[in-house]
Amino acid sequence: MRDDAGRDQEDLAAIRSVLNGHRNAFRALVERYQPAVSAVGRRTLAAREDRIDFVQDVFLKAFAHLGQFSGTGRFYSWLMRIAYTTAINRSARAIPEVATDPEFLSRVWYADREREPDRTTERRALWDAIVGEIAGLPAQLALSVEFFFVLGLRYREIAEMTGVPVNTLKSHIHRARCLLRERLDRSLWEDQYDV
Amino acid sequence: MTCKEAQDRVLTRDQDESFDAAVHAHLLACPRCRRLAQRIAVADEVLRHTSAADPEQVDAVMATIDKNGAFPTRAHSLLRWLLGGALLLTALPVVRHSDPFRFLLGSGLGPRVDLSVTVAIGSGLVVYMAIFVAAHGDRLDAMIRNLPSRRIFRER
Ligand SMILES: [Zn+2]
Repeated sequence: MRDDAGRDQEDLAAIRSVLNGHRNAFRALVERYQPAVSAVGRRTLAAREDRIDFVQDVFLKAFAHLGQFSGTGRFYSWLMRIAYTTAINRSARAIPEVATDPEFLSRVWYADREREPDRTTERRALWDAIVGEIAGLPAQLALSVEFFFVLGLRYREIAEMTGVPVNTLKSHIHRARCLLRERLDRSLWEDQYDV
Repeated sequence: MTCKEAQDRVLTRDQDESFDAAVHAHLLACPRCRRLAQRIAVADEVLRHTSAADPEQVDAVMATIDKNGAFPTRAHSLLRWLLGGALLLTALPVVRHSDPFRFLLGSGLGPRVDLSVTVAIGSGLVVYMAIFVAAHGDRLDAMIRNLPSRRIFRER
């Protein structure tokens, strides 16, 4: 997620507009964040119908509680917290089962990939490195590492959301990035990226 | 700054974190660490999920909101409520020990005034707490859900 500051300003403007009675201003927020909310659903819920319903549920909650968004943090992070809590409440048992299962993770990755066809090969290689780091971790921690890389959430935001301490998270990001470095050392994109 | 320190900073870099001058200086001077920083930046960018919205899902969400979405209202800040409660609590002893009140108690009506004032204060506090809970139901619920004991329970 690039150009965060500009995007945050746009979010605030949309929120103000909704709170001033323009219901349709919410559409901009749904358009911007539906992919990220779907990504949380894909990572936490096994059944497809659940995931479609999940996206609706998350945005409906966000809409209803929009007046409680304080504006001190990012709207994106606030929304992701709603998504995470909703996912936890929906499947208290499903998350530990699916989040660290390599087969499930590959499916998730595949679903993400379909939406971004032009980045396929690079992502595959790097994704394998991440899976190497998170397979076998406790579910909460595995999800936290994914939230960092895939959703671009910050340490503090993830810690507030999942309860995983910042330092624990940092040490796993450190390890995952070491694996990424190895992956990059062996890969063919040295020339491609001129690194 | 040593290479190890610089690499640790690169490998634990937060989203959009800007390095301080010491790290920058090291990266400028050291091609090996600079290369690492560039690679990690590339990896971060490639891994990031950046797909476009699914128009069907967006329409479905907006349709649900149009149909069921209770219109959001601005929340009154928790702080304002707590200040109100604190004010109420400090005002009570002040009233209770004020001169007019003492005068009333001294008159023939004393015990009856005392009783009715106590009842009024009690009802006031109950009403305040009821409105507080009603207005903050969701937030109180979220706070209870996030209690450390519940979190540990959820992890396994
Ligand atoms: Zn160095």
